[in-house]
Amino acid sequence: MPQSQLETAKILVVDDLQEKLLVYRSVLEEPGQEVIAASSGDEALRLVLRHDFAVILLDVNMPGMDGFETAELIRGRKRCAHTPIIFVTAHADELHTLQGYTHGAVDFILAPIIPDILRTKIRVFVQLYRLHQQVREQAARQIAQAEHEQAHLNDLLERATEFVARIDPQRYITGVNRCGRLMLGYGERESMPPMLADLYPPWAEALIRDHGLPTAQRDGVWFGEAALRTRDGREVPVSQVILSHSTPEGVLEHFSVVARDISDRRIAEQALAESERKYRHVVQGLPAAAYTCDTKGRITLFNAAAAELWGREPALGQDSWCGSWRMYRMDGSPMELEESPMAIAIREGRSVRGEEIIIERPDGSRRSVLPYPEPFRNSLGSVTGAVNMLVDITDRKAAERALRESEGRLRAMLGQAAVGIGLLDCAGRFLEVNGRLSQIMGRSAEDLCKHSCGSLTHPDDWAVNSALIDEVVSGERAEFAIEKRYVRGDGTFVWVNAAISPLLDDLGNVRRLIVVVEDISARRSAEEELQRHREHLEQLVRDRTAELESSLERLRLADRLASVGTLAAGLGHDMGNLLLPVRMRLEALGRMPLPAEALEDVGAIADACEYLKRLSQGLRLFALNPEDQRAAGDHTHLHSWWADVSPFLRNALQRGVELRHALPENLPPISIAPHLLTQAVYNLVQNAGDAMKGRARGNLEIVASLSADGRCVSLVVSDDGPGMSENVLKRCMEPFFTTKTRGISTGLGLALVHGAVRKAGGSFDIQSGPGTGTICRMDFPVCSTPPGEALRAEPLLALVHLAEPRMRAFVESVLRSLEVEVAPDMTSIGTRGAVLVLDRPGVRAMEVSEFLALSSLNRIVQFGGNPPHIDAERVIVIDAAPSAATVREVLRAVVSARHADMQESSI
Amino acid sequence: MSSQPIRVLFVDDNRLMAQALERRLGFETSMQYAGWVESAADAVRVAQESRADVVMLDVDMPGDSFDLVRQLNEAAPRVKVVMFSGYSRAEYVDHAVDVGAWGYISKNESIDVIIDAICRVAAGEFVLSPDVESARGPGSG
Repeated sequence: MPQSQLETAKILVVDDLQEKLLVYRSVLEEPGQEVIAASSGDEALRLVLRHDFAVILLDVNMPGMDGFETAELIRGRKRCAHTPIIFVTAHADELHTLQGYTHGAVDFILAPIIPDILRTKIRVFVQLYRLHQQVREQAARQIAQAEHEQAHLNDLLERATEFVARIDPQRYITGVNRCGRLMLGYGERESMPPMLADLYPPWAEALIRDHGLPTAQRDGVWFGEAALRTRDGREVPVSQVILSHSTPEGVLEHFSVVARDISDRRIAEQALAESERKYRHVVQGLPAAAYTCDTKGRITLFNAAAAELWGREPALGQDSWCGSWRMYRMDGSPMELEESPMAIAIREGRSVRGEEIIIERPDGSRRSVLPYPEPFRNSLGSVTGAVNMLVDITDRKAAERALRESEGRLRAMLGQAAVGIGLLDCAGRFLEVNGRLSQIMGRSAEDLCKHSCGSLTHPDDWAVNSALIDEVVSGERAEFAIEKRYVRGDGTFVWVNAAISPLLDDLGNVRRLIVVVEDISARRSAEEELQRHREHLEQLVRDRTAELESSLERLRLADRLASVGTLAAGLGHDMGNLLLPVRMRLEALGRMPLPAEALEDVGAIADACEYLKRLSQGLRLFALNPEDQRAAGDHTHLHSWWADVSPFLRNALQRGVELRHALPENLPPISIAPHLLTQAVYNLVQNAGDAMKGRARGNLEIVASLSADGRCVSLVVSDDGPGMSENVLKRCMEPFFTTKTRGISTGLGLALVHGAVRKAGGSFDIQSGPGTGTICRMDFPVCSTPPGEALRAEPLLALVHLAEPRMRAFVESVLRSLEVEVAPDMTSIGTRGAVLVLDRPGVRAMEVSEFLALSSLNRIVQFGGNPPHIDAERVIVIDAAPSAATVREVLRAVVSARHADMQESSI
Repeated sequence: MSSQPIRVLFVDDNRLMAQALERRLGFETSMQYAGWVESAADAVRVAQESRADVVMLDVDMPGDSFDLVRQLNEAAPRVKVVMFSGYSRAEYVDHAVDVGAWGYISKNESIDVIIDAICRVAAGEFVLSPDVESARGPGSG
């Protein structure tokens, strides 16, 4: 021990004599030995407290406390109780006294001191001290080391994260580490239950008692899981080790119980189990087919949907990759199990997507399947298996196909639809249109899809349209239809009926709008046309109504006129009937030889009768129905007409108005019936008379004149009355217009005149102004005089061979009225023949032939019988006993045609 | 027969007319007043008994004077009936012809025209008085 060798061995020398101390020092001082001197016992006692001495050299005889006393006190001190003491004495007899102090007295030295002996003796003791010191140091070191190790172990145990307890053979707890206390809920200073059994719940205690401890005692160790009971009664699951400690002789000293809290592990295990259970549940419960494989491809789990899809249940752990009977690719070629998506997923450690396969069931049916294999990985990232979900898309594909077909059909139908159909988004933009719609709109489908409903609708129609669309989009309105105009591609507008309805998704939200468009421009124009027709019709109805009202008024007037006419006719008739006997009596008187005065009277009466006769005639003309154009013939000789009507017309004028007339006798007849002319002129005369009413005098003129070309005769009725204002003049020919108070006139006067003149082919005109009087001018065409007028010197001739005398007389009368002379026989006809009228063609066949041969213009009128075989076109066959009207008509036509022919041939 | 005066029967409800005619015919040597019948009912019988040549029949008599023309023609075919009227209506004229009348004379004609017409009818002519002729007109049917 180098340290000890270097350490100086201290030697205490105690003597009251200084010279002796010096001697000892000189003798004993040498390297490795230090001499510490004490001059008294007290001093020596003080020094031994401070130093460890290898040996003490103590003088027995000292004043005060002697050597023995000092030694005894030194021995009483623990530190130096075993330090060897050597007494120095000069008296050998004193040696026996020393016996009592054997404890410390190792040796004696008798004085006088012999240096070598002293030196030798001390060396022995120093050496002994040194050895002892060495042993003691070594032991101390060993103890310290053991103690250190023990402390370290204790510390480890104390700081261990497991429960550690020491149990004695009687099962009493002799120590529990901090973790153990904490685990069971005991504080540092709280006392724990004394017995090991108290630390376990009953079931665990039984296990430990009956199994754990005996096994540990027998085998030295026991492992097992149990549970410890905490202070508040909870159970802490633990994994524990019980160790037994025995002496070398095999005597049991104690047990060590080490327990680890496995609550977290338990929870994790439970969570894992739960997770696995859930996972199995999820897989089992999936509606889609799902199964799992391990890395070797063995099927570890599959669900009911998978079994149903495969049509079989695979054997767990035996079937590989897929549970299906057979697999095929989309092209129909068989697919090996190792090529399946699941195999690829596990082999390559990646998910495989989008690879559709076909699987076949044992019953031969096939299903289209979309697999979704997904590899599992552990925490280290290694593939441990895979899950595969098989989505059966057979039905979906069939549905999609059906949908595609249906959509295709629908599209085809829409494409050929007679109405325009468009799909709009909710903002009204065109998404799709059919052919008809682009036709209606005059735009291509691409062009339409660049536009919205709004931009293509006539601005005037859009406000209403837009509001309706908003209502449909918001769901307020189910659908609507509107008639509006679209702007066509060429900028024109087209009228359409657009019906818009929403396209809803499954949730009832409006996704799209469908618009069905019908071109109604034709209907519109038809409607407009109809409207025009309706308006036209209404106008017609108005016109007719007005006419009807006018007719009604005219009827009323006619009714009045008829009353007047009836009266006038009756009057005229009676006047005529009475005048005839009066005239006859007058004539009888005239034949008598009467005095001159009487004859003058008779003459005057005859004049009066003549006047009355004319008045009667005028009344008759006035009374004839104006609607009957020919009631009194169709032409008028103005001069003779005037003779008849002037007495009557005068009656329309009040006294003081002078009626003048200028109607030359040589005027040709005009083409108006006498009664119509009478009525027209009567109206004008009456108007003039009314206009001049209240005046003392007035003038009315009726003047007729032939136009320069001789085709027209003007009959002017003029007065010098007050005239008409411009306004009255403008309206005076309107029906019902009158300036007279109701009752006096119906207002039809001038209108009637105008109508009568116009019907006769003439014209009527009024010129008037305030104060200038009124001029009414009627222009009548001259009645077409017989064209044979020039030949009248040599009239046409006719032959009449009729057996019945009255008919013959009638025919001859008619012919005469047609200015045809009846010739006595064929010889006098010559070229002037017109017609042969006969009733027995057979008898007179020769005469017929002869007459027809005389001139190609000659005609035959035959009463009954058959027409001849030749020249049948020149023979007119009528009834054997024809009516007067027929005879008259036929003869008139034949003669008129003959006149025309003659005129032609003369030209 | 030509020396025999024409016997003229008047059928008229107007006594003044009949008497005046009788008076006037008294001046004519070629004619003889054969009588006067006031009603249509007696006309046919009197026409037969009176041996009349010409019957002057008033159109305006009560009853259907046109039908009377037919009856007279049937009962006395020798008699020539002339319609005598205050009206000169065209449609009357044709109707008169169709029922068998030999003429149609207006009462407005002068007495000479009337006498002449009777003579002409008796001689076998068909007579329309000028008044009626003009109403009938050349151009009218």
